Amino acid sequence: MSAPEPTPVSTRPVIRASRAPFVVGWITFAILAALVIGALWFDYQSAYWAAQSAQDPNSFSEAQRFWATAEAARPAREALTVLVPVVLVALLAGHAVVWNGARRTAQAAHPSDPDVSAP
Amino acid sequence: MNVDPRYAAQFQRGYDPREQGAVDATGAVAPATAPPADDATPASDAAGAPATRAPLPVGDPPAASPFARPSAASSTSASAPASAPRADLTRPSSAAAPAYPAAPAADPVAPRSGSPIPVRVAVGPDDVLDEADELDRLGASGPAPWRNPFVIALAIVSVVALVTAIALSMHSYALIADTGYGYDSDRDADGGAMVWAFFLSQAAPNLAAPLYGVGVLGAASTVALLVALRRR
Repeated sequence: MSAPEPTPVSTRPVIRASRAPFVVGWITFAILAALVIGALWFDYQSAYWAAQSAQDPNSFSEAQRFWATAEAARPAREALTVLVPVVLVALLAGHAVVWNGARRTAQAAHPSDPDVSAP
Repeated sequence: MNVDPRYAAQFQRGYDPREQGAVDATGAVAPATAPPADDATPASDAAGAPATRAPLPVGDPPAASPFARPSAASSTSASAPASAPRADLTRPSSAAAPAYPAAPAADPVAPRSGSPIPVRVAVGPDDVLDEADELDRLGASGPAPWRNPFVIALAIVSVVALVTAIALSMHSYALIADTGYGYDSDRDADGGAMVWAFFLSQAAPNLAAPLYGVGVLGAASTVALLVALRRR
């Protein structure tokens, strides 16, 4: 007769409902930042096609395809330019507001209060 | 300037609450009717205060007051002559002899007169417990409210983004204006350096634009948060 084994404590992080918007927001920001970095590919390709067009007149049609792609992607890049700062600042400001509220709650809850029970 | 001699003598002597009848049965000075003893402006005192004060007692001289000046302790009657040396007590700039004995240098906060001034402070056990509670509360409350780590992070991110954006702009300007990649460019330059210069001149504006956005938006939000979180 051996003692029952203790229930293993899960180490999986628990995401509370109040933190879910921040998790979603930070994942969104990471994706948007990766898109901003990845969009630099257009700048690098523009260097290539500028040099290639200067060397090889027959590459005109392929260069035109690239410039058309870059122009089509330009509105998306501009949207990213507006969206990324807004998301980042909103996330940090939201964290600041939530932290302030949590601190005020911790201040209001005093151990001498009858509503606060010791663990 | 015509002043009632009764009031003039009172002004020269200084304010004594006992003369005004502003004492309770136990002899302590009632705090509600006791104005500040030393009025720095005699003009306003002569103008407004006598109308609100009670008339001077005309009977027996009142008992010795703890608020009376030491040199006036022997004669506190209301009819004291105003030409006494203590007439200059309210004017520190006059050349009269010092009214108070000099305090010993070792203890500058010691009472100057021999008689101690009675002071009653209402402190009960409930007040002491409240003070301890308040100290506990202050100790457990953590850092000051303006030390919000996320506001600090936002400020740092904003400043770094703004500096980086300005540096990128200046660098791309230098690349385009000085080295160049067009008609006036250095044709003998290294090909890799040319590609890098071209890439950076194209990419720097696209990188600097969101950085400018973070810098400006973050700085404005930092100020707004500092104001808003401080007020609430």
